[in-house]
Amino acid sequence: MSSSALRAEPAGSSFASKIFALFGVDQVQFRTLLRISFLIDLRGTAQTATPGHTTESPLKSSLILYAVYSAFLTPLAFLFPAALYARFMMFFGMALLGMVMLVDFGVTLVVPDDIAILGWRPISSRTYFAAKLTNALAFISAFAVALFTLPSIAGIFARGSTLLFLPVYLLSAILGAVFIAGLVASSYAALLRVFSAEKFRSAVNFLQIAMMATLMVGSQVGPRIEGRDAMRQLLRKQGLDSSSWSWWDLMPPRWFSAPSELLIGGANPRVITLSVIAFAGTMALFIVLIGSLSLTYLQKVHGSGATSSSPIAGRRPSLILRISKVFFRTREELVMFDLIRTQLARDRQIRLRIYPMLAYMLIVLPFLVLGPATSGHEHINPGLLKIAPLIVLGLLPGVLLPLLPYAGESQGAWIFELAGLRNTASAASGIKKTLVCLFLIPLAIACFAGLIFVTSPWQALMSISFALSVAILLVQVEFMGLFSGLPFTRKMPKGRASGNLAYVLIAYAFIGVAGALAYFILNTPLRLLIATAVLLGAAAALNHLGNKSYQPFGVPLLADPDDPVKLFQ
Amino acid sequence: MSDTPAIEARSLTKRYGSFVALDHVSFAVPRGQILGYLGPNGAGKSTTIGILVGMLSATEGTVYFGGQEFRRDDYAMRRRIGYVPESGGFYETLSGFEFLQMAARLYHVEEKEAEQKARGFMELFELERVMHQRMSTYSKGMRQRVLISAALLHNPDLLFFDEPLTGLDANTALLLKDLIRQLAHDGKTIFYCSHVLEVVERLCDRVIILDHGKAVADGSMAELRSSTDAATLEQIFQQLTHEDNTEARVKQFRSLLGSAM
Repeated sequence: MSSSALRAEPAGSSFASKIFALFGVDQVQFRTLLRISFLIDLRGTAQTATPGHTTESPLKSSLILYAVYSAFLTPLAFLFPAALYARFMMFFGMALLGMVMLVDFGVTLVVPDDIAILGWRPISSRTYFAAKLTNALAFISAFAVALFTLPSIAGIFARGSTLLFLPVYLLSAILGAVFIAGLVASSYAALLRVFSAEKFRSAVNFLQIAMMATLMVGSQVGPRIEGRDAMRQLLRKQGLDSSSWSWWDLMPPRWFSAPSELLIGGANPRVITLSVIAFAGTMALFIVLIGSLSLTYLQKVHGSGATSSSPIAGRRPSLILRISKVFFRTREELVMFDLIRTQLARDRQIRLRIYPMLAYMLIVLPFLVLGPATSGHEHINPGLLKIAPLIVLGLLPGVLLPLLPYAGESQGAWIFELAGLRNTASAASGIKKTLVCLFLIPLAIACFAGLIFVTSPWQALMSISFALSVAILLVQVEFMGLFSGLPFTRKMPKGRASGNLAYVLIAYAFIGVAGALAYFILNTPLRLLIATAVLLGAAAALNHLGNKSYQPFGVPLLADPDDPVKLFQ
Repeated sequence: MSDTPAIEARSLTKRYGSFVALDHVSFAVPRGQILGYLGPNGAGKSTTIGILVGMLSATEGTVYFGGQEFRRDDYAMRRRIGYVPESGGFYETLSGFEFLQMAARLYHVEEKEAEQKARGFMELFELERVMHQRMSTYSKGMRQRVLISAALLHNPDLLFFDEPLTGLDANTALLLKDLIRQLAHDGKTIFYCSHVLEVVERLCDRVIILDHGKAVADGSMAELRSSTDAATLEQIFQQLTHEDNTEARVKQFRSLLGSAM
């Protein structure tokens, strides 16, 4: 064989080499693929609208934001007993890391482009899968360290804790993150085995949306029930009983908080069993993954590169056309509405990013409104009726606006390069109006439908109107600060989607002020009406300013007032 | 030299549901031969090449390299393959140099040697000025030169080219054609897939023409000329792939254009 003329690297005899050999993974290829994966991930991606222009990878800033985000939760260590704090944080953290894995690193595992580059080379499916999985695990572990370091330090000061809480909890959390990543990878690999290549991408998308919605809802429901359950125990027994079994022990976060409970509360059969399950479960998952599920992974991923067979969205139905012409008066506004609507309907990656967010927004409402009522209060606090929709609607712009510039499966940039823009102010207005029409108004209606079960329609309407005015003002403010470029024109760099969650914090501050006002001062219908009118007036003033200053980069402005947007009509 | 063909396809068939992309295609390519593989769009050329390089599995039929059956999980045999795909096939975030280093390392070429080879190929193809720039900034021709280098640097003896001249300037195209001839002279077997009939006519020792998944011609240029009474490969291609009514179609186009004006 002529290639033998090359000096081939000899197979290693170290322990690592033996481990690689045991799993049938080629060490040299593994290292090469892993290095390349890191290089690609850590570099920014080229922006489509401006060829050659690159962005910095958002991973570093995401890690910092996660650390800051976790700092907001650390005060719980001073309120809760250590065991409860450990469980609560583990539930929350693992749900969050699961979302990071799904939204940002799910793409690490399924890269249809790889097959054209690597598919013909002598790389085994196991080697490829091991490299991809290690890549995802490294990032998810880094996120786990960013998310759990401060809470682990704070945990030392929780009631009944010791200094050893820090290393034990941090290591358990990293193991939990690895488990979550393995679980997502296993699901993908299993789906690849069950479904044909053509159906795989759709199946993955449904799985992602389902898992994401479960995690998002779980991150809200889990810690609350966990907290309530534990508080009940505390009230009954003056201490958290870590020895009694419950159905909640089936949930993985319980397994990974068990080693800390073992440290704090002493050994008992429950925590010992759960700790063993945490370690053994993670090991078993990876042995199954590398040993069995990865065998045909590379070949199967190949087929997943096929383009979507779902039909392209047709022309706008005439009813929507007529209605939308009322709100979207210029052609640029209509273009933006059409583009965002179409991409949301067609693009699975975009749907994955946005739809679970909506589920997350809505789950907050019943907890805020009904939570205190089920805890013994006979009447729902009217202040909370104003705050609940305020949080639901107010968080939406901060979550959605940073997601909109990024494309999913298909990019929209080419149309702007081809057609240019005649009036950028009008395009800006179109983006904001679309956000209001497609998301804020339906969400407001959903909130209204929920609230009329617990209060009068009039009071619900007043609360929703106030919340909507705050949200519209936030759209204006955040559009100027968080939105750049044009919708769906760039490839989303890894780490960006989960990093965007941190923008929620910015909105929280604003919502906090508005909520305090609503709770303490705006407690008559007239005051609420006046406040709503003032907020809408401020939003209208900012609208003009924001539209004028909007500069989508890389897109030519057309002098010709006629043709470009006809493409959309 | 052994009589065993370097590449042999026996009754290759590929079906996608009820659609037959490749229909019992058989051929044998001796060592050192340049085989031109032609066919209209959708004739099954890329499917054949996909099966030969191990990216696709055949529904029926077998591939042999040097008399040995090629299985998709036979990684020793895969090391003998070099492939230049028609499109894609590179990471745009990497520099050309990094991409070539990666390609060499995947074949266990030692780190230093991989670096030397990568640098050497970049210089040979006059890419040294941009070797550390990301490939997203490269022109189509530059990318093609990197892909050709990535297919060659592990010194394979079976080379598969799918439209390798796409985007190349005239000088680089000349260089590549000379290089292919020299590689064949050195005993490497070349499978050359293209739509550029003039190049195939001048470069290849033998031509296979595919139409609707079936091989409709197989022979040297002289053999094809005598069997079809046509003077050029273009005419032979037209005859065999039923594209002999181009004049009528041009008229049809003109009338359509006229009605649009």
